[in-house]
Amino acid sequence: MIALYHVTKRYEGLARPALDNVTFQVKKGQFCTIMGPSGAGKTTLLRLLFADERPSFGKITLDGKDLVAMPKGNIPFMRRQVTMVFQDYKLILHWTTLENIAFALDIAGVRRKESLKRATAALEEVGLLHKRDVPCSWLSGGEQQRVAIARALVVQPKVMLCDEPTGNLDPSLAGGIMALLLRQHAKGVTIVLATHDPTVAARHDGPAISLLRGQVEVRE
Amino acid sequence: MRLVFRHTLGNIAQRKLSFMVSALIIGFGIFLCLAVATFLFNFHQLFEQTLKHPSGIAFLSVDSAEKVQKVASQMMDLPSVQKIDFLSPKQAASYLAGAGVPAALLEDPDLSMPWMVMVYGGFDQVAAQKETFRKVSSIEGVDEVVYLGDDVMRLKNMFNIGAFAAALAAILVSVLTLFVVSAFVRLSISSRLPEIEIMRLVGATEKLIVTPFLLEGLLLGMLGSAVGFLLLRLCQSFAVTHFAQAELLPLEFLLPSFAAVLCLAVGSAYGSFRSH
Ligand SMILES: Nc1ncnc2c1ncn2[C@@H]1O[C@H](COP(=O)(O)OP(=O)(O)OP(=O)(O)O)[C@@H](O)[C@H]1O
Ligand SMILES: [Mg+2]
Repeated sequence: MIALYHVTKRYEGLARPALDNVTFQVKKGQFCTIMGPSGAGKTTLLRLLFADERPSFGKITLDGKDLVAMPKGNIPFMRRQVTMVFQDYKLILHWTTLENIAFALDIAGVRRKESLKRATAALEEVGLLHKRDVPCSWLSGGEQQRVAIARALVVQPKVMLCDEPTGNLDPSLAGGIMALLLRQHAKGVTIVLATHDPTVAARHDGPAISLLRGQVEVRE
Repeated sequence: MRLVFRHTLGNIAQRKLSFMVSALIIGFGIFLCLAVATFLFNFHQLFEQTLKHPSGIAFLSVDSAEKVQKVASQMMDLPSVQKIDFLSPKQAASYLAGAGVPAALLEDPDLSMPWMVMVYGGFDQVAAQKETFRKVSSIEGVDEVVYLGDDVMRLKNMFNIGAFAAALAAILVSVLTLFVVSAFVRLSISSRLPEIEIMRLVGATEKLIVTPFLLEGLLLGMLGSAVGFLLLRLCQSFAVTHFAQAELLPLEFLLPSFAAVLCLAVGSAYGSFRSH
């Protein structure tokens, strides 16, 4: 499903690359964890998979298609099948939670009524139904994180890229979110989850990739 | 498409005041431009009327039809004479009466009415006309020549000044529209930059992102045109009741100008988006 070959990402003004010669694969339907301390390059890796950044070197394929060579106009359509939960949530703060989630469906051409219904269901799934009509700026960090997760799963993607999806949640909520991701996984969604928390990785038995200073070691 | 409209309206609703002010500024510019154009249009119609008048009148000293014919053929040979009309003494009298010459004078038995020749020459070559009329007066059998071209020339010069002003106003309005729309759209974009970024990340196409801004430009242009047109109508109804009969601008002129304003507005909105 996802394959990286010798991917290197350098940022300008950074002495060593954020990712250095990374090669690994995630098979369809796998739940893959990317572990590593802060600054290891986890977010960079996910953004490369999301075509939000281009590698300085190397090849990334998604479903057999070369992501680097993908025409710019196709990227929006790719992002309706590969969704991402961002570390900083990326919510439109003056919109309500419902609007933020429904937007992902609206742009995919889902009818308004239907998308409101599905967005409401997604909110219920992350336990935020009571904040339905509240602007996102009124939500706590953990609540915003859950809205971001709801937005990522509401479009029924093939792949979910989750960047520290439990980073701001207390253990019981984190457990709930992990259970939610595992349910998605059970439905066949491929999941790539980045975290610095070993207990999160221990909650499932998929492959885990350890990143340290941009370099990779794979554990099956 | 409904999504795009919802977003556009939402964006505008957030910045109602600056939207209104921008539209008013554009509208006022368009109004000024239309006002000059209306003035010019009426002026031009009057001018066209004047062109139908003879450019000069020759009074003949001959009175036999045969001799008159001879004078006529000499006149027709002169450059820039397009048409001549003969008025017999009787017709001449009624023409002069129509032009306001007192009846007492016309019926004075001591002054026998001469044959009159109206010379039409078109005023586009006024210099040549003047020369022509000098020659007309030297034709044998022509008693006196009244040249009417100078006034027309003055009207024509005034029309040219008006046309220059109108062109200037049109350029000014274009620049104004360009400036106001792009200022509005730029502000709109920069206040929404994080939002645009997020929309891209969620999978919105460029089309979906750019169209609301184009629509904002379009709406601004439309509202501006409407304001300009309304002001013009108000002004015209005032002018019609308080001054003289003024003709409204024809639709063939108005529609293309509004279309031009709209194109300009959308174009500058797109330009602002691209340059961001
Ligand atoms: N846009 C950028 N420009 C320059 N350097 C960047 C950029 N994004 C990330 N970096 C650098 O790349 C390195 C890896 O960053 P990254 O965000 O991938 O780490 P991370 O593993 O996600 O860390 P964290 O757990 O804190 O989120 C860091 O040293 C960071 O400073
Ligand atoms: Mg990170």
